[in-house]
Amino acid sequence: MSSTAGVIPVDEGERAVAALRPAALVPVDTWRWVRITLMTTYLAVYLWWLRTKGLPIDRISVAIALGIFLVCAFVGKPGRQWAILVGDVVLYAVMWFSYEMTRGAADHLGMPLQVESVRNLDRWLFLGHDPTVALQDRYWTPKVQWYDQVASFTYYTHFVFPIIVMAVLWATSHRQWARFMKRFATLLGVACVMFVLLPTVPPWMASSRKFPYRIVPPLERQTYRGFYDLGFKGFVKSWQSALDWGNTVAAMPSLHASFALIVPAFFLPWIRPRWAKALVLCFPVVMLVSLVYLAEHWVVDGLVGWAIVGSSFWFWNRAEARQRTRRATRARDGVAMLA
Amino acid sequence: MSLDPPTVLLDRTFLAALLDPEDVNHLRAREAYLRLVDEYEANRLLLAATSDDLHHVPDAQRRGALAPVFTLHVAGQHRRAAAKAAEGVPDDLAVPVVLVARERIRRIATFDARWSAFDVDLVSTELPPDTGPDNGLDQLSN
Repeated sequence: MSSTAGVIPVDEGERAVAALRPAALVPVDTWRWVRITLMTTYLAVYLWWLRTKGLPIDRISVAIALGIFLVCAFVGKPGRQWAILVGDVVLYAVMWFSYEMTRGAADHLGMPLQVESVRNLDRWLFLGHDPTVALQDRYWTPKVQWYDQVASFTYYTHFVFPIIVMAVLWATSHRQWARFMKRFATLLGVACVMFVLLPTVPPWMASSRKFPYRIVPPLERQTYRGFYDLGFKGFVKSWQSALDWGNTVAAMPSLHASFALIVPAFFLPWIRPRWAKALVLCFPVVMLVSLVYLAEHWVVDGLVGWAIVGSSFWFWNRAEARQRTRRATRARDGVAMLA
Repeated sequence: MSLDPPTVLLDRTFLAALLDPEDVNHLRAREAYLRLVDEYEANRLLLAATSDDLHHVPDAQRRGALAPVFTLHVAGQHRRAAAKAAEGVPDDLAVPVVLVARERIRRIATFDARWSAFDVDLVSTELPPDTGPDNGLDQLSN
């Protein structure tokens, strides 16, 4: 090939690599296979632990499980990626700690407890009926039914589903992990504000004879029984730390319903067939129905949670588009200045 | 399947042509880059360049003309892999070839004809019909 100004010529000796894939020309990344092996082993151990000791539920046990996975997923990666991972983990830990501290303190800050208001909204939506009462009247039996297993199992996915998604995104695409975490952290932040401003009595508490409210007939709260009937159990270790704090009146919004929506909503753009989109969106609906049947939440708790998820996506989608536009504008202006 | 939009690698010859108005390929680089920026803004692709190639780019241009371009950091393991690349891979292309392989990059913006020998798509640097005087260069790809 003759040399032409501005074009680097190809030597005859270099034609031997014509049409070869770059991946075939460079050494195999052996660390990638090490990571795949470690992550596969981790998955096997996790499933064994799930079956023998139970599903990790408390925050610290989940964090430890996630930390071990991340080590497996990042073994052999460049130091810079490890440094970014450490920074991400710190932010992640701060997020959860802030959430737990706020959630734990929310019911002591003196805001008026919502007892009947949310229940009344449910009754307005359902033409004067209490959905939880109606579902349990119709379907609850002392013997565990298949739908008890579905409801209970669905309930417990809350403790693993979003974490698994975070872990997978962390391992595969930092860009997508960051996008997911922005939306997730926004959801947690808004939820904490609402826990403070609107502490809300959940249905089981509103019906329980242990509390003075008793605004609905007695309800069954045996969230675990379907899960246990399937041979699973929860693994909860008390670490005697702030991360053990609970808040029984943090019903509004329902993070169970929110988490169940945020994951399919995030992946919706990559799901092509409409029927598949509809299918994955059935999951948050099944979760909300389960929560109501199990007396864990009012319907409105879930609807508000979904609205927060939708708002979070709306906000961050616009913010990211604006960021792309700003950078593109700077690029065009910068190129124009070069002329 | 990657969740990210496909990445286009801007190699050193392309960056040099884009950032130097005196370069014979500057006009082609500019037109091709502006088309890529449009696609970036529409979230249809990502733009990348290696840390080696961006090292000498002035900050003003890095934050200005190259604002949408993210850095592909070259690590020690990439350099070690480049040193063991197959015979026939030019030394100065070995590191980019390693990154293209490891990051699964399929498109490259370049004025280096050697890339046409690899199984990658080259970004068209053909000028639109109504653009000013051509430099009379052979096209690398369509």
